[in-house]
Amino acid sequence: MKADEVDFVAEVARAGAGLSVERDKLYVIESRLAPVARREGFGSIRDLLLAARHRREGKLMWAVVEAMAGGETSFFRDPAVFARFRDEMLPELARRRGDAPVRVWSAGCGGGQEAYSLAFAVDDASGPSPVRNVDILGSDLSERALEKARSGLYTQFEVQRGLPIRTLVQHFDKQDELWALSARIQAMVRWKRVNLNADFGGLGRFEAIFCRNVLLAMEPAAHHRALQRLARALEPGGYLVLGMEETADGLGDGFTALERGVYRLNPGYSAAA
Amino acid sequence: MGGGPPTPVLNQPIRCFIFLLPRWIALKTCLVVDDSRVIRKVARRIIEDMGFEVAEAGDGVEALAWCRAAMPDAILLDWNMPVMNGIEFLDELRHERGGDRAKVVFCTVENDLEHIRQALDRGACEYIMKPFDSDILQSKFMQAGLL
Repeated sequence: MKADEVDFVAEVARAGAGLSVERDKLYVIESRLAPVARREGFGSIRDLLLAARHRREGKLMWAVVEAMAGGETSFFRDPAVFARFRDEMLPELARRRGDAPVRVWSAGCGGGQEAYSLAFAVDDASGPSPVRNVDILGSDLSERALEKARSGLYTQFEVQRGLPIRTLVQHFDKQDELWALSARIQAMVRWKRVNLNADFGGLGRFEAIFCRNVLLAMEPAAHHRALQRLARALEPGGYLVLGMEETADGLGDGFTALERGVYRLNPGYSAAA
Repeated sequence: MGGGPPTPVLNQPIRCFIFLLPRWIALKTCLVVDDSRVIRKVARRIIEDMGFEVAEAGDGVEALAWCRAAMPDAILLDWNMPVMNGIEFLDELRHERGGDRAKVVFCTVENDLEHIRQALDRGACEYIMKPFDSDILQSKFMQAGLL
C-alpha cells in the first residue's frame, strides 16, 4: 500500500468511528482490508480504495471503517471478570433494582461472544434466589458483526477460545461444521447497531456497561468523548467494565477503580456532565 | 515415540529426572499422549511455554507406565491411538493409585457432542477439538484449573 492510501484509510476510520490507525502496521491494515476487497468484488485493496475514494461511496467507506474496527474477541475473555459479574455485581444490582430488570450493555461486542458470555453468567448464577431478571443489550458499529451475533453460529475455533467445554455441551448443538447456540440463551440478548463515536443517548441507562478492548482502538479525543458518553449512560453507582489494559482515568474523579479494568461511577458525575 | 518409564526420553535425562522429582520440589508436570510425533512436539512446545515439565507417550499403555512411575498434574490425551485408546486409558487411569488427581484434557479430531459427553462422563476436565493453537491450549488449561 502507498502512503496516501494508508492516510486515506486512517482518515476514513478516524472520521467514521474515531479510530486510531497505526500507519506503520501495514500488515494489519492489509490483512483487514483484503477480505473486504474480495467480498466487494475488487481485484485488490488498491482497487477497493480507489473506488471508495473517487466514488465517495458510503457503503464502501463504511466497509473500510468496519474492517479497521474489527478486533479480537472470544467468549469469557478474562474469566475472573465474568465470575465477578455473576457473583458480586449481579446480586448487588438486582437488590438495587427491586422488581425492575438489571440493564447490562455489552458495547462493541463484535460477533456477540461477550454479550453471550454475560447471558451464560446470568444463566449460571446459583444460590437461594439467583438473579434472572436481566436485560442484556449487545451492540457493535458493524452490521455484519451483529448479523453473526444474531445468528448464534460459531466456528469450532471460536467455541474453543474461552468457552468451557461443559458450557458448549449445555448450550450448543452442532450444525454441520458450525456450533449453534440454543434459542433460550439467544433470547436473553437483544442487539442494536451503535457507533460509540456518535451520540447514543437514546439507548437509556444501564446498571453495568462492558466495553472491553474497544476504546483503546480510538484516538485520544474520541476515546475521551466515548468515555464521557458511557458515563452518562450509567446509573449512579453503576459499573463500567473495561479491558485489562484500559483505564477510565481520563474522567478524573468520575469513576472509582475497584480492580483492574472495573470501575464504579461516582454519585453526582452524571449530573455534572 | 516420546518413551515411557521403561525407556524414558533417554536423550533428555535431565528433563526425565525433573519429571520424576517429588511433587513438592518440581514444576507442574504434563504428559502428552498422542500417536503423532508432530502433535506431541507442537503440544510440548506450547505446554512448556506455559511453565510445565512435559513427558510424552505414544499410546495408552505407554502413558499408563508413565503414570505409574510418576502421576502427572495434567494429561493431554488423544482419543484414537493404537494399543490402548484415550477412553480405555482414562478408565484404567482412574483405577491407578492417585489416578483421580491428574486433570485430563482430551485433544482429538473427534468433534461431535457424543464423544465430548462420553469424555466428560468418564472424568475428563476439558476437551480440545483438533486442530488447536496455543491460545486454545492455554484457554483449556485455564478452564481445567491448571493455570
